[in-house]
Amino acid sequence: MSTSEAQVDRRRLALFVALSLPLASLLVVASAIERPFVPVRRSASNERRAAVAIRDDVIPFQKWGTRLFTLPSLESAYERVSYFTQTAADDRRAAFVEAIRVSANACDVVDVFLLAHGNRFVDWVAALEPAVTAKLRLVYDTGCGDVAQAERWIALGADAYVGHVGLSTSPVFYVYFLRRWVAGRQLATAVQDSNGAAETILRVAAPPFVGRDGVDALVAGSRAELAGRGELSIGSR
Amino acid sequence: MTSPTTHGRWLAPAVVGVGALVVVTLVVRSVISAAFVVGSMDEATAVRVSVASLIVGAVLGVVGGVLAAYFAVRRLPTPYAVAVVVIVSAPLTLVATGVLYGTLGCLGWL
Repeated sequence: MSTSEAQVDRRRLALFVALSLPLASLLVVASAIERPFVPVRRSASNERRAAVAIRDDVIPFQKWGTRLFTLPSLESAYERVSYFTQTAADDRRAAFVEAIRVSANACDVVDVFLLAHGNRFVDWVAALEPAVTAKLRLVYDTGCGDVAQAERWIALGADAYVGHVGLSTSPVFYVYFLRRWVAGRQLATAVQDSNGAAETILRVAAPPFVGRDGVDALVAGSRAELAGRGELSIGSR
Repeated sequence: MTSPTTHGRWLAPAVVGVGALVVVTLVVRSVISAAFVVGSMDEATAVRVSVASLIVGAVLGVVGGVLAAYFAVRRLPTPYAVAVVVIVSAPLTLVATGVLYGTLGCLGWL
């Protein structure tokens, strides 16, 4: 082989390696973490749906990350979105409760996302009029052990409640769950798939932090349970 | 075999790529957190700044990794080229792709 032929081969090989790298990386990331979803847009139906979300007072980076992930997804799927972040000086109670009331008056259904550690937002919402709480459809709560509030939320008027069993790494579940919910998956399917995906990630990533023995407890505590109407989807009433 | 010029061909994009990722993951995060703490940046601005920086950093990371691999394979003796691809380009491209994929996923584009 001549020197010039060797140079051409080398160039081709370099081009092949250079093009293969991002493709291989994309395949690894997409298959190991999360597959892409077809972007969803709000339906043209007459139904009006609202989402109200609240983040508790955590470190700024976590507040920022939660908002960064949550808001675009909600805005892509709901006609009306209210998002609140608590601070040390303001728990946003008045604004949060008022947002649910206004959303219920303006829309057919209201979904509530409680992006907070173990919480008692249910007490705030319980003070609202029954006509308002009857518009509640899905309530999702990241709080550790807050699955215990399921009966109370359902009694208030929510059609479905999703909460975590124990000490929970809820954000892992939430990332998978919100994407599936706004993409139109049935609620029961979204919860089941997200539990599975979260468990896969936790079993790979958690052992260095909690040890092999701690993973089972973490997975069990992080598991989300559904109460109420599992057949709901974002486009249903 | 490997002159300073040859080294520069693959080293420069790799340094830019790694640098962009470090800036994204450490510096931007620290600046935004600090700005929050002193109250000089509102949440919406922080989101816009961080999204823009994540996308730019990740794109530079991918480009840096790919260019480093291209010049290494083209210019270096095979054992060195393989080492550069395996140790520098592949991890850089993988991490940067992950950041870009995650950011676009967060924005609802993937």
